[in-house]
Amino acid sequence: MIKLDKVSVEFHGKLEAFKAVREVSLVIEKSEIFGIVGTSGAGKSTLLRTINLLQRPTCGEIWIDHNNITNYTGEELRQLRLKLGMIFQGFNLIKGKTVSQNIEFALKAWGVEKDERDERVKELLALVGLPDKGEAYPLQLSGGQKQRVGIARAIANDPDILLCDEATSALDLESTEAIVQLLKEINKKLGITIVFISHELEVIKALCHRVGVMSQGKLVEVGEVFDIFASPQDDFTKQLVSKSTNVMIPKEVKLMTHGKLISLKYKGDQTLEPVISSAAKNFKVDLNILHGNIQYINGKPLGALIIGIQGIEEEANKAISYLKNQVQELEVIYDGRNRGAINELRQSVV
Amino acid sequence: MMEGTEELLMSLGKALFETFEMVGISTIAALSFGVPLGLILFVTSQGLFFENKTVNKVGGVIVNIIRSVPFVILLVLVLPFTEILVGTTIGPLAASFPLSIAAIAFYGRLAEGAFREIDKGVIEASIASGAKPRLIIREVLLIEALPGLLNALTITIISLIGYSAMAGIVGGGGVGDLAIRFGYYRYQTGIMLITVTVLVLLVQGTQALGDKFSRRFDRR
Repeated sequence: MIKLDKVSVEFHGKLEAFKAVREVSLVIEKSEIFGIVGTSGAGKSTLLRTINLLQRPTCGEIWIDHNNITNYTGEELRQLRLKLGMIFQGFNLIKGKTVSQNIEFALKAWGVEKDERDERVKELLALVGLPDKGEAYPLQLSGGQKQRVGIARAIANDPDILLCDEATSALDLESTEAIVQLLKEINKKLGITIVFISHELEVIKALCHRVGVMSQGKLVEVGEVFDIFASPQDDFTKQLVSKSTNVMIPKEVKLMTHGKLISLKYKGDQTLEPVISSAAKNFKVDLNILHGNIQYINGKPLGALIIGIQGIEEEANKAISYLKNQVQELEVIYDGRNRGAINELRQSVV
Repeated sequence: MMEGTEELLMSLGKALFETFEMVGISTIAALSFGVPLGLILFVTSQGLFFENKTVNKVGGVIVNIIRSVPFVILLVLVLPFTEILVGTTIGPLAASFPLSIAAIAFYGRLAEGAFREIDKGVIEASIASGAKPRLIIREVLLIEALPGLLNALTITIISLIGYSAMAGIVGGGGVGDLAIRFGYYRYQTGIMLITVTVLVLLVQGTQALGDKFSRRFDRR
């Protein structure tokens, strides 16, 4: 378990102090995959680096498994770091050493004997899916492979916690997916707590159990990943996740439509299909699904649809009211008959 | 021209041997003391695990002082110490002492630069892994800086070949000294040309060899 208690980090520039992290309090449970998401410069990396004290907090406390580690130094700190793996955006492998030697380095830091080291390196290479790359140099590997080596090195000493600093941000889509799968596997197999910093929402969505949202040094919202995406509370979070949950339609479609266009969002417990068909049955309207996007986060569906409604004004409004009660969010995005009255209509629906 | 070719060859052979002796000794000194010096300057700099402003500043100032003194003056300046250490102030062995001092300061500064070139992230990753500073120095800093250290060594050796020409002042001999004595003072242009050619070949060879080694270890 990791507990951050009112952690702040200030950087002192020549003229003024810059607060990178502002009073962040947070508990990360054992064996969970916790994501921290936010735009660049939000203080995510700085916050992550306080956990292994690569960055010392200006104030606040950091607890790991009931030990206050905030003021650890020297040998005590070194022992702690042996149990805290870390992987990086830039991989940070030793370029003059082979893959095996890179992994072996972590084992040497731990003081493992030579025979045992060789065996453990083989084991780790197999675990990260690079059994035949032991003798290669980092230069000869792809980004995805380098990160696999980074992971092998980070978990070589059976750490309790794995810190990931934008670990997939330098990778292409395919490698990102593979690394996400590998991290999930490691989390499941070894029960390692993973703290994953990223600005990539898709990765957070695919990987994490819970997520914290950071903006300008503050932790603005924490929750289950599904809830953060399905029903964000904070304005910043709403804006952040909208990019990943909204669906857009080309304006050509709008111009060709005679009726109204609505966009609606629904989540796990709201089963949609009967709602749409009953709306179509109960009111004299034609419903036409123009665009849609359903994603599954931790096994729960989150959907967004754009629906065209055609019929007489009164019936259409009734159908919209009905739908509005059934789904999480509904918005009339276009009114083909009365372009000027969209806002008015929106109000009458409420 | 000198009277006999044989005599010329003998003088040249002796001079070459003296040059090798002086450059060899001071190069070994540069490696043995310059690398640790560069390492100290690097690991005591800001943000590193032995951060220490005093050591870093004092070390830096000493290196700068030695490097700013023209070599001819340094040569004369350390004569008393040469006498104590070597027992004599003349000959190639005596000249090797001031050469070594200059070499250590020169190479120390270049080595510091080679360590500075290392990707900060790699050092950070090794600190985060809980490795002891000794292990980080041996397995990360020295290995990652190796190509840079080899390049710097080439530059140092070539500078030393140049410096060693001035060793003639204390009777150090060497190829450069031969060029000055016969070619410059005695107007024997032929000998000067020959010795200068030998020096050019020496420098070329050193550079080629240095480049080859540096490439061999470069995995960046």
